Amino acid sequence: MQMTIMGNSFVREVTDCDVEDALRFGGKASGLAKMARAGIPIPPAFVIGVDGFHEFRANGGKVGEALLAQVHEAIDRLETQSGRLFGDKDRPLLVSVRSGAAVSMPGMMDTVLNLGLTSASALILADGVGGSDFALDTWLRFWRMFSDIVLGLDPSELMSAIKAPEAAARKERNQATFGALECAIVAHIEGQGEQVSADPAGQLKQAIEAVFRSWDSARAKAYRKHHGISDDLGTAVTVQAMVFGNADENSGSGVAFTRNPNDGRRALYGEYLIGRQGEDLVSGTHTPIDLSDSKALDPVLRQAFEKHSKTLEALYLDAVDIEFTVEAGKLYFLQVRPAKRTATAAIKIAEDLVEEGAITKQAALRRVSIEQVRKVSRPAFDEEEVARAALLARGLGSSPGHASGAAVLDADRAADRALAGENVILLRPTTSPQDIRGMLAANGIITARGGALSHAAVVSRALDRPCIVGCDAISVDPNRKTFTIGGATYPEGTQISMDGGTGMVFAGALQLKAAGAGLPSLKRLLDWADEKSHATVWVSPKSSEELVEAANAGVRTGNLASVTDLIIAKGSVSQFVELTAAIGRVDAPPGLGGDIRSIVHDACAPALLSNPQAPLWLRLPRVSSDRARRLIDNWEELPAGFFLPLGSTSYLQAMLDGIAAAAGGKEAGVLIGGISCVAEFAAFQQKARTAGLQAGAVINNVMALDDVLRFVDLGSPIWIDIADIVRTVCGFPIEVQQSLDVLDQYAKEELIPVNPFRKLPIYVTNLLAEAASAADRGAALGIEAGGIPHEMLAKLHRMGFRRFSVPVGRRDELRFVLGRSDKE
Amino acid sequence: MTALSEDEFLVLNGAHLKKMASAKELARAVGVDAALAQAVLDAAAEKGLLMVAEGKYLLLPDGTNAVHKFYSAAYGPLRSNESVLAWYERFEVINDQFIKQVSEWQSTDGDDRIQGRLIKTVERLTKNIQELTPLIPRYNIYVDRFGTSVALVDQGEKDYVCKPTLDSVHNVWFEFHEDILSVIGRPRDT
Repeated sequence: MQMTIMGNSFVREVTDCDVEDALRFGGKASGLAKMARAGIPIPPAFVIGVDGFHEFRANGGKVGEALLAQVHEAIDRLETQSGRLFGDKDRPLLVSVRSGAAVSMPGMMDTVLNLGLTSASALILADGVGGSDFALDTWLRFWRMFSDIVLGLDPSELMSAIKAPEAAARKERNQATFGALECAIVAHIEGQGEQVSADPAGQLKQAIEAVFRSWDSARAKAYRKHHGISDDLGTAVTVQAMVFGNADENSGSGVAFTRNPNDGRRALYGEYLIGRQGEDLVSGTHTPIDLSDSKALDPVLRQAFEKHSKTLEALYLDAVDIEFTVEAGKLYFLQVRPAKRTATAAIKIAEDLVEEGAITKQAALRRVSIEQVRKVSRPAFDEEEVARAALLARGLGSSPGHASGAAVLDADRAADRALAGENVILLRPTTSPQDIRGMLAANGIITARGGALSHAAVVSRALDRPCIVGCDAISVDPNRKTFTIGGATYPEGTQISMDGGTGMVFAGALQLKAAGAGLPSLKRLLDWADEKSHATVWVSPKSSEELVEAANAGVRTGNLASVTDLIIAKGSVSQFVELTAAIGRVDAPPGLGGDIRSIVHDACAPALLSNPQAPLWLRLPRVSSDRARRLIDNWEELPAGFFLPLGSTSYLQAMLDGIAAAAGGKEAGVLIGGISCVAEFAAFQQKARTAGLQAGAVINNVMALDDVLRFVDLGSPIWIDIADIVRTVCGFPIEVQQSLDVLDQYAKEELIPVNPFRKLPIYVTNLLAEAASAADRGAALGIEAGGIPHEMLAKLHRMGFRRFSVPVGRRDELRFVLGRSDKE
Repeated sequence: MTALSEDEFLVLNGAHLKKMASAKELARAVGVDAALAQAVLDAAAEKGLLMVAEGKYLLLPDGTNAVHKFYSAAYGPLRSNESVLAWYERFEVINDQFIKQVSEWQSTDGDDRIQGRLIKTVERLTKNIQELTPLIPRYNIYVDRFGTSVALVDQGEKDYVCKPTLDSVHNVWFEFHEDILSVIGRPRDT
């Protein structure tokens, strides 16, 4: 009372309504206060507000007498509420001490648990049901946390320093052994130059001071500086009575989820261990009760969970997970947080919360992360095909995901083959930092040696690439460029498939199916995203099979396939490349056109004939492209005219004829790239129409972009290859565009202001302005966006572009991103 | 072959630890001036100690030998120094912790609690490294590099936990581990 009169009340019980003010009492206490008001049972607790922190500062970094007196008064009240006494040996009150600023930040002190035990009370605890081991585990857990968190000492060093007295206390339970252990602990800590006392009141004071001091830790300071948070805000300290799940047979502890964290279904989920403390869940000697089994839990507790779950979800507007303890039949909620969940569950929960009227569709899009959408829409093998596939070897799956491609045994060769458009699996004895280029380029990584913590495993997970390590059935011979499995030897380039989850390696290239849109909840979420963005995301399938898969996923948008990709998928690329090089020469023999026509026909026919309802546009090969330069031997010896879009009539005609024949009268469109002028395009349109095909263009240069409105006026669909535009404007070679990290680093060194593939330079934004406003008015003008990061596509969407084309595996992700992107 | 000078060692040791890196990355990693690093690298390339590919430097066997020789000469006495060897024993314990935490962090999609523990382990190492800096002053650069990466992680740049293409905490740790092994003259366990 006296303190209130003096106007210096630093300490409040969390049930005090003032405590809901997070600015003065911190986020943790404010959360507890809100729960208490909503009728959620929480163990009694008090909080030292930020006023106490300021007092501590003014007092030269010490907890002063006035503050200490209030803390002791508050402890007295906790004693009354809990029926235990702080520092007592028979029924000791144990407390937890937590830091709590208005904003949680790195570098602040972690929680100290079990504060209040002494050798005397630990000894009495050892007489209880848990015996010596339980009592010592609880007590030493306190000392480990205290020396680690409050004193900054290495807890494993403490534990090894007290091995002998600990063993003695475990062996013989008496005042002498327990007392000797306490002396050893204090002696070790003092030997490290820290002061400590075995008295809980002194420990509590030290813990409070440590919280206050952690406000000024280097990490917390740096964080505040970065986020513009004032150094004078200060932190609160929450002190809460600990409750005992091991008190009797009517006690226990566990974790509950208001919804199933694996699939998101709305049903209580979790585990309850009778007669044990929360931190004791590890032992495994007791079988926990499954909370999802409606008959397993005591009906009174079950009812309480159902009631409180509803309250908490209404409070958080989200599914929550709950750490709880039951002490002598009374349920306490210790910690409540928005629930951890799998990607599938996150999407289902967001959908359900909209159905239940708890959140808006817009909020639902915010509840799911891009990574989660990516995860569920990651392409996967067809299960039936996996069942039929020949298993070559099995290792340790260490980064999930499915991939297939040519097994390449060297990182540089893997990178080169991937750049030429091939799917590659990097197969190595082990990996080291020297293999990074190949790891970035490969679709998956397999090593013969190494474990879950090896370089390959850690790096693959960081790169989100499927990875299998420790595949010791495989031996790699780098000199001969072969690998051997079970006596059979295979050359480099052999097609294999891998499942980075199960660790299985299969013979042959299994087909990948886009998985995501098959998930009903994701389908709805993406429909909401489309409603919001008004955008259409086309796909660029790499093969006819991919095209069919994408169409079967039930999204009716267009397809933009590259003829070269279809030829690669068909396996006739080397023949096609030879013919292309030959027909380009001045002395080309007659008849080559017919061969090209039939290769193009055979590669495009399955796609054209299978394409269900959605439009299919085919990008014609461009001899001047970087890919052609890699594929064609002696590329530089081709005559200059052949590099021009309409430079070789016979070549162009052969392809148009091949496609027209493959379409067999069905509607089909062809896109020409590399053109710079409207006249060029008009000539192409003429040729395509004569062949019975629709015509469109891909714009890859600034010249054509500058004239974009005249292209649009010709009434044909136009696609802007944004990567080509940015790259040529900046004068980068293709290699730079393919390693965005390199440019990120370059930007970090402030040699360029930003990575232009992430944030459009103003010059390019201006170039795109006319196109963007035409797109906004509804012109058939899209962005070819393969390889471009989402943040840039969101920006283009804000500028007015509404049509994008991406590889099949990125469609769901991009629809989601555009639905979340706010218009400026 | 003449022995390496102190500066030469610093830069070439950077190349030894990083395997493949640009002059600028090396200068930053070992804390020397960029122009000096470039001069040392050029001279070393001339002598056949390293090769350059796409602007990245890679030690050749002669370069690796020269670096190892410097380690033996400069740190020979430390290899029988009880306190250094005891220090390394302690490092092995926290190294195991760290690698487990990185793996756990990755398998939980960067869980905040695990990240907190992982950073705590890094802070513990930097504190411990400062016990070695009176003997090996160049180790101060690791303290700085860890500090920079941790600050970026704290700002929400989670790539700085273990992305291999950045000066991530995991990368700095990996290099430090190789470094201390070379100091005490032990091969790396696979």
